[in-house]
Amino acid sequence: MAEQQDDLELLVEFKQESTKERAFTKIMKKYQERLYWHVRRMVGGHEDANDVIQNMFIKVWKSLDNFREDSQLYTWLYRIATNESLTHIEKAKKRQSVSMSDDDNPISNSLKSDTDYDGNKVQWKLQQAISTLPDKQKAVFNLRYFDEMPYQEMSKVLETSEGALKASYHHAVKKIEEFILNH
Amino acid sequence: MENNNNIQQEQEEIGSPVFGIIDNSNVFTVPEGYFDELPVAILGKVLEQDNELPEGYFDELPLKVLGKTQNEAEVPEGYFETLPIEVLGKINTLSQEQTLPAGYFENLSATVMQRIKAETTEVDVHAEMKQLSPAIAAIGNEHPFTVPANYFDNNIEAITKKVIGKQPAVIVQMGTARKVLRYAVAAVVTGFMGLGIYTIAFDNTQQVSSNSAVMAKADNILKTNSIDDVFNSLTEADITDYMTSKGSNINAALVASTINDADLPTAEDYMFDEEALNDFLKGKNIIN
Repeated sequence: MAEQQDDLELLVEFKQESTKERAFTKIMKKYQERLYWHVRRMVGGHEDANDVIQNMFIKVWKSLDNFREDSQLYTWLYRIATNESLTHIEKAKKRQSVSMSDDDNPISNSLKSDTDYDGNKVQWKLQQAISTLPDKQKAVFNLRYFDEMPYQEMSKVLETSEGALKASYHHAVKKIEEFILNH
Repeated sequence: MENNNNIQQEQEEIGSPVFGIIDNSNVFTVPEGYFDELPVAILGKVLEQDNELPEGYFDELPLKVLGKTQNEAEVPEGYFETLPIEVLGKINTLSQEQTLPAGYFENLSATVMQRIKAETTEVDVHAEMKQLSPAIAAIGNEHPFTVPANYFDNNIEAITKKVIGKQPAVIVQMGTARKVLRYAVAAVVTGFMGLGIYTIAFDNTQQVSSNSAVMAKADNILKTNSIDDVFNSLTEADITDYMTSKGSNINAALVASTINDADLPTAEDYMFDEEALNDFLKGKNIIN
């Protein structure tokens, strides 16, 4: 509740020309880290995540004036971050198909190219398993398991019913489990 | 019959000629119909024994019952003398059990909120995963990624440059900022501006100069103990007007953001010594 009140104050500040920049900087400071990790888990590599998060905040700057205050700022930010990530992944897939690469999973490639990558570590194996999920299901799994987001809020971020999200999450868990047990 | 023959044969083999000539037929007899009546007779006997009461049972019964009742109603010796003490002891124990831990009500809402949060989010996710897939639950939800050092600090700058085309606004804690600005505005109000101390804070090209008139006024404020009145009379508008007039609010915020309340010179320090704030700012590398 306190977070929501703070957000409302930030939005009021943002709408005033004299405090707009300061409010925007505060919003970035407050949310950039958790949004970055959400994006990073979606796209895999730091450079990709950095591109997405910067584009995302530029969009926020341009459209925050039109933000409807009947929803929470942070679910709105998560929605933009998720959509930007999905667009980025689509573009990466198209680039990959143009370059006729054998491996059609750019996220998996991105993970493997990480300097810290260790295929024997279960945490990396889990990330590899997640990278095999359909993109939207990946967002469902990440938001639930890593961001520990309640289904109610996920429903607002992904604009999908809670029931559909639960079903998607359960299927995702089974697929990931199968991947881990077989690799 | 075969069995009978075998026995006879056995006797013969044993070599006893007597048994060889005497057969083993029964010589005893029973009254006619004996075996027909025997079960009924036995059953009747059994029932009769079961229902039979000892002689004089009913004569002794009232006495026995009375005796038993009297025994049960008996209380241990001294029971009523010790009863009040025992009851009071129990009441005290109950009161102690009902005593609440210190700060119970202060912490109650936080405890309840914590439990609600735990039950609705975090625990749910992990409990849910344990149920869905113990294998994934065992891995946990820590991710293996890292980011370059200071990435998040630099990222704000990079994004701000992109969207606004300049450095991000400096964000300062208002508590600290207000304190510094109050001193600054107090200086204006009391005539300290003549010293140029605060101008230096915001524009380090100017130098501190002595001003005996202002010092005399400051001395008077201290003597009349009215410094708190001066500070308290300052409004947000005074501060804003002052900062606007100086046209350097970002620098002011920068000053405020680099210092701790504890490090600030006291008002008296620079009421008596115009160099105090100057020295302080030099110490903080804000001015040369």
